[in-house]
Amino acid sequence: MFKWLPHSKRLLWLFVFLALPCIVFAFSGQTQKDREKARDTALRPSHHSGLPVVGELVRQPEPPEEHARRQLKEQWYRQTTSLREIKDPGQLVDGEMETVNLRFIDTMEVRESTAPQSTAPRGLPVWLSAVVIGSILNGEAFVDEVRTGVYTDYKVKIVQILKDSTATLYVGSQVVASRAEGAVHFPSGHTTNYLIEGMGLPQVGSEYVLFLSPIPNTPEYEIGTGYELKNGRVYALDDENGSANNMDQTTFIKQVQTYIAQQGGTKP
Amino acid sequence: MKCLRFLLSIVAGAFFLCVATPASLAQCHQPTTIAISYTWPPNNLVAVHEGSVPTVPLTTAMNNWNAGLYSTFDCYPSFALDSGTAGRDIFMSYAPLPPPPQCRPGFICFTRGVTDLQNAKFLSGRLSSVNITINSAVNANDVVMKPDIPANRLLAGLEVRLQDFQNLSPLIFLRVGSVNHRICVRDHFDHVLTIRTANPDPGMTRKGFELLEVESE
Repeated sequence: MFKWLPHSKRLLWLFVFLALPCIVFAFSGQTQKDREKARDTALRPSHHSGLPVVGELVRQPEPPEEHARRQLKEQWYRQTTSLREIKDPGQLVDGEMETVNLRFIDTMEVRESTAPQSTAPRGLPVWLSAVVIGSILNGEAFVDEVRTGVYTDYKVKIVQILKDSTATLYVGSQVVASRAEGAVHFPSGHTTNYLIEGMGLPQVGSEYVLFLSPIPNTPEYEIGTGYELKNGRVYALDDENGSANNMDQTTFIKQVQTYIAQQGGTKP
Repeated sequence: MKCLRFLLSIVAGAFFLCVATPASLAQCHQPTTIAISYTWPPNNLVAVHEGSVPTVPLTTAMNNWNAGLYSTFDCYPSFALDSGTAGRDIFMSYAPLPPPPQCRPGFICFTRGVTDLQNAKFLSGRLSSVNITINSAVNANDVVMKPDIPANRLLAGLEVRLQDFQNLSPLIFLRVGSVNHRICVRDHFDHVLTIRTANPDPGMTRKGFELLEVESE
């Protein structure tokens, strides 16, 4: 076979045949990578967000004390967030086992002419009760008991305290800080990611400057906003604060401390 | 010798295709995008079903969009009450919505509306129908104007008053209109007003999305 071809051409054809599967493999690999990348992008509600933590619709039993605390927290979430129905959509939605339920929230603020105003920009909410540097140890997503909301609890190890009006935090302690987003794995096998456009989720294992607001009657906090500390730079958890992205970490922390001092907060 | 060089170049090419190409493409910078599936297709007339939202401000909002952003800047789509391109619908409802939890001291914060894509339907990869809730507690007196900003200020020669937009929290739905892969948002108008007004204190800023890029079709 191919003996009628000159030797060099035979070799050429041989290499073409060898290269062809390689090309097909390269492109199919690329398509797979594209798909994974698209999924990755869709699951991150902000540019510097971590991926949502997946929780189960059906909860594991928990000690009564913890259950009571969770009820208080969920009650507070029901009062402060717009509700949405959490239900099992069946195994496949448009042929997919996993979907994103994205929510757009349109808010605005109006300046009160008579009230004293904060000098700190909106992106640095130093008026909140606590500002800490903390590492995210783990995350756990929960569905509200009456199934009208999803939130994720992050266990945060305090590395440095920049402000603590509650006087309950100390370096090395662990606190729970949450966000009203997360993913739910339903009994049908389907997973829905409940996200809010522009509002990021912390990445487990990363370190953040977190602006925290206490959840009433519980020792837990809600994450007002945050900035990831990575390689000496900061990256905003929420897109609306993106102007701080890539800022030098030391400069950023000094800025936060200055605003805290102006606000009359503690600066340990 | 020539033949060997030729063969080596083929081997190098095959190697590049197998290994180097995917890796290099994977490092491409990801632009700021939201999924195009969250936008309306161009050249569509979206039917707005008012639900319990007051008709007058809703109609004004749609007319302003159609006359201003749609006609002048080609910000698609256009909107009409209860009629439009088959299968392109916005279902509005009017209900109390809690304010955002974090509000600066000295400010009052409002949630104007929520667009939830939970029950949205998609057709050919673009929005087909979506439910939008407008905060019934937000009204003109709450959110519109400080008296030192003339209510009839014209915006960028559009002959559309800022008040016409700000009276109308239903404008939340305009967030999903798109043009040239960009979302046309009312922020344009806030921005225009802020830099055009002689008053150094615009009195009001908004929190939410900046101009969003939409991924390419």
